[in-house]
Amino acid sequence: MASTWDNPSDEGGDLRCRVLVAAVGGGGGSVLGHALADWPEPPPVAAVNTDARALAGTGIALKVMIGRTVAKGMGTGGDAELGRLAANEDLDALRALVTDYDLLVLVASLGGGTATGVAPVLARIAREEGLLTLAYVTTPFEFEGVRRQEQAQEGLTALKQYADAVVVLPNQRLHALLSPGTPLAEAFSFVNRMMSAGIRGLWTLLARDNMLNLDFSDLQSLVENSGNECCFGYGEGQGADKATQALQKLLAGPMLEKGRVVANSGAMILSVIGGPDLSLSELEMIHRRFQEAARPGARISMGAAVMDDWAGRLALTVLAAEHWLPATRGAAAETPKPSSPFFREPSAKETPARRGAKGGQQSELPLGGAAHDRGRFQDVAPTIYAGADLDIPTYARRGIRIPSGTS
Amino acid sequence: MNMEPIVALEIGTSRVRVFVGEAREDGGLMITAVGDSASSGMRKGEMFHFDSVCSCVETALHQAEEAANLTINEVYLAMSGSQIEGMPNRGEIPVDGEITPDHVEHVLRVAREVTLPADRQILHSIVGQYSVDGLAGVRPVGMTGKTLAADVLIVHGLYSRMLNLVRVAKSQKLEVAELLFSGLCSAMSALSAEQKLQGVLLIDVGGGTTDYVAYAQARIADAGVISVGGDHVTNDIARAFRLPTTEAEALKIQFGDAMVSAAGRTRRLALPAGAGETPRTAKLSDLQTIVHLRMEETLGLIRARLQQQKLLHLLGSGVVLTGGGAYLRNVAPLAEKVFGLPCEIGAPRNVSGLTANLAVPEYATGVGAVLCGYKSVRTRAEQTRSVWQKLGHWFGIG
Repeated sequence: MASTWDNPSDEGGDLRCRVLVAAVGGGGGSVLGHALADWPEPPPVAAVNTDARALAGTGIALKVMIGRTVAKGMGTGGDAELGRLAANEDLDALRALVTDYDLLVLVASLGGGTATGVAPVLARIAREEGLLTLAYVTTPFEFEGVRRQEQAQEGLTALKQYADAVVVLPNQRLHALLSPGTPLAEAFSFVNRMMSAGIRGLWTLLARDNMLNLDFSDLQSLVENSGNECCFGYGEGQGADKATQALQKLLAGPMLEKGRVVANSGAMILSVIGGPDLSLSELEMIHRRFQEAARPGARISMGAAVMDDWAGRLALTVLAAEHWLPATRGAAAETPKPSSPFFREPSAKETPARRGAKGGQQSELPLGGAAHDRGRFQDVAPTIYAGADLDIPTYARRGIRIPSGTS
Repeated sequence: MNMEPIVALEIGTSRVRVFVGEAREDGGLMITAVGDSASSGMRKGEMFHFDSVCSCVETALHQAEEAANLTINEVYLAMSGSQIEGMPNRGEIPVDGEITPDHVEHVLRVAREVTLPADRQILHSIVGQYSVDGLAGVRPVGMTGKTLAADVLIVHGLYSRMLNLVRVAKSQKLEVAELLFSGLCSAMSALSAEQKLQGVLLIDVGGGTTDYVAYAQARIADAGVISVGGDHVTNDIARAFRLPTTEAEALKIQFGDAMVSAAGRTRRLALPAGAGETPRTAKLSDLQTIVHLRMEETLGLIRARLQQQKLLHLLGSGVVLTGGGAYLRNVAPLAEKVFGLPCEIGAPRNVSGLTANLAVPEYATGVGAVLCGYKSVRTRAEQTRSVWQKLGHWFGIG
């Protein structure tokens, strides 16, 4: 928002959206380890694993070791059931991990035992504690075998039940970006780089005061239009035509399936990170290109951040709803998504879905659906100021969780 | 000077008010009657239901007419809404030698000549200051120089919105003497001459909008509207706790607080429950957080605008808050924090009343509108008199 003044407020810390980034399993750990390496102001990051050695080796400070009895400090050997048991053994530790936060960003490489088994459990606990969960996951390369593929799909289905939005990066899509002789280690390191860029691209735009901000209602609107599955793309450019290069990589590249995802998607978030030389015409061009590529009526939100040391560089991250879902609530009901919190009561506007009604006593407005519920301002023109709809409560735009009352 | 009573009509989002003012012997102003009605048909300072607004105006008008025992024919109408914008502008003309009143008139004409989109109309163009050869803040007539410049603040709005409000007045057989920007009216009544000299920011937090007027370097420097007001706070509370608007409003009035207190973290409030609902409670600090974030953001938007206009460091007298929103608990400490300036709650000054206490923040706009009307009548009277004097002079009399 425009509140950019320096205000070392004593209460300020409590009033921001408290975000926890959690890496589940070895793959998630490598992604975040990669991301943290050059992250100037990282959010709190935790690593969750059964494998004591992997935990010891990670650069992440906050380590949560689970399943000492069932996994005995080792990995799960690709067994998702073992991962699930390990998580269930330490439910309290996981609950304690997330309880003081508003938003959980869960990072995992699905297919492995720990990630596949633990991620849905963590997402469920986060929901019970009233957090909003955004999961960034990869699915395996085809060469990793059918079993991992199937296991990843099962994990994804389970995760979608509990996470508010799942951002999926199928590793196989990156395959085309790698030259045939690429060593295996390099292939995975490339995946990690892409994932960490995707997470940081969004994080940077949400967490800082930027030239052109994204706020949580943008994320909400995306989630609402996505049927809780999104995918993302990342492209970088350098030099004079850096914006064109980044666009080219994204729209013609495999991450968004040569633009097919953009053409099908009903909602997108574009995050642009550039140096002090980032120009308005570049932003305009990026926005226009996406607008042209997207289907008519797609909701495109754009944010831009300027980093002092990024001169001559531009990174473009796109978060797109994987499937086209018409924005109308009635149409959403046709999509069978009984497990998604956003579509639980698509027509009952007056009685918003109760989140976390299962475990805790707290209930609150769901993340999605709330985005366009403008209450008494429903029937008048919105107050748009610097890209934000001021009729939406400030706390909702900033992603701050207000429990709607305890019975 | 014997003058007709001056009547102000304030059509706000939460209240419609009528103020009747009469000139006192000593040149001051006395409010002889107030009419007050709840407002419906307005959102965020804009009318969305013509008939509702008309009937609210009718109610308030009748109250005032009965109390003052007169028939009201003409009103000064105060309006707000996000379409109203302040635009600082400067006009400059070459002069040769001594500056005459004609030069001043000319430079003002130049300064007021702005190109606005066809659907916009100037509401006010207020003279800030004159400069002669770069020397600012002078009384130009009689000085000599090469260039004369005038700084004005042009306040403009959408013509159709103005026309609609005039139509509301017409529906009650009222002539509109002048349309006024409500923020300027509040500044007129709540700010002292000294505050204006030293630089001050007036913020009027209404139900649907937040109006602001900034004085810097002894002149009016900026004005505008953020279309966020008390209704937004209520709506935020209603949304967060899933309450009907009326209940949320009651909760806001009773417990609303612009700052989050340590005590609020342990105290729980009972939320009003509908029939058949399980009673719920919420943390006071959650309510405080909702209100704090909204108000901090709104004040922050004004701060950002003033910073952009490079006015923030020129507000020596700090911030004055008026409007119903000034009743919000701890809103002054919050404003002090946001602006880093002292902040006080303002109310109409130097106005006496027959009946009620008029020195309350929510009357700043209405009383100010009467003051504006009073000033404008006097100016007109003086101009007319001077014309007669001139004429008399020509005809050898006076």
